[in-house]
Amino acid sequence: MTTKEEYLNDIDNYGESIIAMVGFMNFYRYDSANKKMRNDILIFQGRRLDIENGEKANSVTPDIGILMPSQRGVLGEVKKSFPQNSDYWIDDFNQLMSYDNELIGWPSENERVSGHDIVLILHQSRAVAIRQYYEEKMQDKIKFKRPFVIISFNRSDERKAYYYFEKRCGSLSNSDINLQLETGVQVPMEVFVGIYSTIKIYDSEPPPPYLMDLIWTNVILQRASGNEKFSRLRKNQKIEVTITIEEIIDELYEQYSFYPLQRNHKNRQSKIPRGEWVTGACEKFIEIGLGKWTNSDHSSITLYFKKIDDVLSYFIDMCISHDLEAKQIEMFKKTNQCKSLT
Amino acid sequence: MDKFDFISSFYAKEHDRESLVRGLDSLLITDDIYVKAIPFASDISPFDRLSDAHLRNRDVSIVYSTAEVTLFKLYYRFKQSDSPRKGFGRFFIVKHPSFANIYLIIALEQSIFYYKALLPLVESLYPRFILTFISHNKLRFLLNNFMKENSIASIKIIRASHRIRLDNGWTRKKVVPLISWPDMELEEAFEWVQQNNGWFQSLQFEANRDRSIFATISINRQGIVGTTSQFGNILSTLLMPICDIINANLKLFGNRSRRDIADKSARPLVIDFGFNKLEDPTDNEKFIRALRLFKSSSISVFHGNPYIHATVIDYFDGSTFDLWVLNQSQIIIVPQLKGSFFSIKRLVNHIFDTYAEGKIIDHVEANR
Repeated sequence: MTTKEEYLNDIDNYGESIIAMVGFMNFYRYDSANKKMRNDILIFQGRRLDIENGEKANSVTPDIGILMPSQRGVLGEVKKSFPQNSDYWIDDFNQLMSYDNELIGWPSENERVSGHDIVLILHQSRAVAIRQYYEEKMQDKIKFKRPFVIISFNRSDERKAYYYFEKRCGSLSNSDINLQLETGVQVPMEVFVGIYSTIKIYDSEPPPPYLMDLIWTNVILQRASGNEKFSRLRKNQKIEVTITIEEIIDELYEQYSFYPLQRNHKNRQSKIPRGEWVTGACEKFIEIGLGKWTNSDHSSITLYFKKIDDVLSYFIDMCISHDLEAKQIEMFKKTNQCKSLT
Repeated sequence: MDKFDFISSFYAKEHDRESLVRGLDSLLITDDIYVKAIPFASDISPFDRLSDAHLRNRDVSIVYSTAEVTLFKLYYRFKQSDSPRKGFGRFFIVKHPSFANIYLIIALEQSIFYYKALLPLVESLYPRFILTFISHNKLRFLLNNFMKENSIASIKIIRASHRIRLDNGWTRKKVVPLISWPDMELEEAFEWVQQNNGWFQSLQFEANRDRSIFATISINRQGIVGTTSQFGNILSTLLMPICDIINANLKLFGNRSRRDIADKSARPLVIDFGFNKLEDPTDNEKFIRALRLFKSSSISVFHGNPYIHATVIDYFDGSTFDLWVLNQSQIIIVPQLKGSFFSIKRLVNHIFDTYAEGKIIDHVEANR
């Protein structure tokens, strides 16, 4: 069962992964001389790329994609945490090795690039262990034909909050960025705070209370606030908001995912959050008495909007008590089974 | 012989802006009256909003309307010692000569009309009618400027209502109201309040010029000004600068909703304290405690230490904000899909009242 502390850590990790992605992409996008973003660098998150001449019709969806005007690209994965058991680490490297192919579907004219780098961005706490693991296995199990780079990140909290990026092994094809990361770069959080505030979800399932908070605060509240009763609504009163799963997905996708940064090359991008995540969150709303399905195929829901003092804490507490209840029911069933056997 | 009724004569005339000010100045010389002026912003025409309005226990009707000035009559009912009472009074709404969304309400009625009818009426129209808030430093600047413009030799405070920000970690109340009549000089009073981490809610003072009283004036944090004389001078040297503050805030706080921006990007604002106000981790806790006192809101803290990331929902109108503290001297407010002018003002006002005052700047400017 997840505790409040664990939920908060999971949410923190989720947010840190987004900041790490945005931070790394901005090494390519941000024109520090003119203090603005470059329009000629295309970025993408969760884009489906097909493996050319693959034995099967395989495709990959990297966390990070960058396409430069030179038609060179970068693909990467961000891993805030790795499993404790190193036996599972090979799975992550297998995923990265799947990017080491001729890939079709880049946001270029012919959907291809002249070449690309593969990057693993991971938290500093695991950087040494993962680099050693890679170096041990690079003779046999882990092999890359293309440039492969491990970059670590961590938050550094001095007088200003920074994200610190440092290259741990390999060389990026872009020599300027490679040189910067060789010695490590501090990226002040305050510079990109506008972007961090608008990207709240990516192609990885968020912790349930976090997704519930996102839906409640950014979709349901917006609709409820259009109701004339809204401003005078008392704490024990509610406003019914009926909405389809598709509408929730569309609103979060267009306003809180990487979509605004990739709207001009949005083909091959699956919508985030995924339908099953949103359906799961809606089921939780129903379980805690905040809604009901409005049709049998569960494509539409009526939520009972009410004014909650601390929305995130409320949903964390609700998830914990629901988990506890589910566990008790499970234990009760097991006990009854044992009794009936004896 | 009966005394000439200047007030009836004044109301009988249809005024433009200039004749209204002249008329008020004449009345203040001849009659023992007090003029109150309330500067405010409204995104809709207040004349349309108020014409023949029946608002709870108040009925409003237009007496006359010229291009610049409209006179209203307000009938009101209230209870005093459980007995029903009723009355009526008049007030003007004057268009600002330059700023389209800024107006002045002017009334010269008894204080019972002001407190039982007019102010509740204005407050009931919130957030369509928005009063300003004047930070401690700006109030000091306004009054110093007023003294200079009118060659005022000294200002003596008659009555002051101030608030002290208090956070020792265990008291629930973070802002303590105090009323005093310190009989202090202006500079001395401002220094005292600032040193005690406070701000003036309202001030009543005598402005002295050439060994005589120029005017007895009241001013509060919402920019409401009252005077016993010299209305024309006070209009140009105190009320118009307050309207400038409202206009500057309209520009700074307006058009920040992401839904109104073509690419849905964020337009953050920064509260800059000018020094390391959030130096210690306990300062973060104090700030979060102060934030949680924001009325009719949800405050969710995603990260509290060493940096702060919180989301704020304003249940008045459904505005939402991300709020960040990423260095020791600044708070960054990021309006989300809806971040109305009214709500940004309310949030900033709350932070100023309960935590500390700072300078508000656009995030782009702050990063230059």
